[in-house]
Amino acid sequence: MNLDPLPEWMYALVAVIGIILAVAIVRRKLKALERFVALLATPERAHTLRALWDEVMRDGVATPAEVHLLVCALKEAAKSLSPKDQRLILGGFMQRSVLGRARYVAMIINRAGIAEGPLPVPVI
Amino acid sequence: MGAVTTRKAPWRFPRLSDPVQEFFLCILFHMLLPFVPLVAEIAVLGRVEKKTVLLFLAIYLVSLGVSSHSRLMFGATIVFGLMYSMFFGLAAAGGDLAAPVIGFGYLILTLGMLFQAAERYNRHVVEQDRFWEFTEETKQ
Repeated sequence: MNLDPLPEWMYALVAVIGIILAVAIVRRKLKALERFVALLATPERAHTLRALWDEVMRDGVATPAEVHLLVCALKEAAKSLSPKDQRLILGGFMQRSVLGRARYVAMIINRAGIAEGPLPVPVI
Repeated sequence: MGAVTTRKAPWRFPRLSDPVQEFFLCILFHMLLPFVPLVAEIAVLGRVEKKTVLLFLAIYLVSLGVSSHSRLMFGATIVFGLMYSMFFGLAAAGGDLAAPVIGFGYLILTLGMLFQAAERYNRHVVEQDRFWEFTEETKQ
């Protein structure tokens, strides 16, 4: 069996292609997030989300059901995005962890300037 | 009435945010830890046996693919994993192949790792997904 290595330039070329691909994957996601945040920052949407956030944070913590409420509101807002952006944004809401979803929701809401601070979910 | 004096908060060593920590934890445990047997072999023998590399490629590529959210990555790594399992079998039996098998394996490995690192960045830093979920139990 021929187990000799390939020429070094080939490894370098593939590494460069890989790095470009990796940067493109991350950049596409960040751009979609940027567009979503800009969409949420419009006064009408921001007002609705702010009211919902205040309601959820009245007792200082959010139950999984309340996190779900915020997720639903954000999913509804994401419908105005292009299908490609929607796919990129909605992936974060599908994660199994409630704490992860709460962190994602808080990050989006904070970035849109709607509210500040985390969305604490009580853990046993 | 005396002036109100404020005390300056003590300097704190900067801390990485939880999502960034989870991303690096993922890189460490999911992507780098599997290299330990190769490092151990280098430490003992001073080199890595080519058969070990073939077996490592077969298993590592599959382990990258099964944890990916990309269907293409999953399918491709299963195919490459099966191919390298076959190459390992051939090498163990002393078989002969003209293609530079290990060379291509390294290329696939590099691409797979970079792709996985980007995907994990998106998951753990951008989407704030947790790396270890099994410790989680929330109050209703």
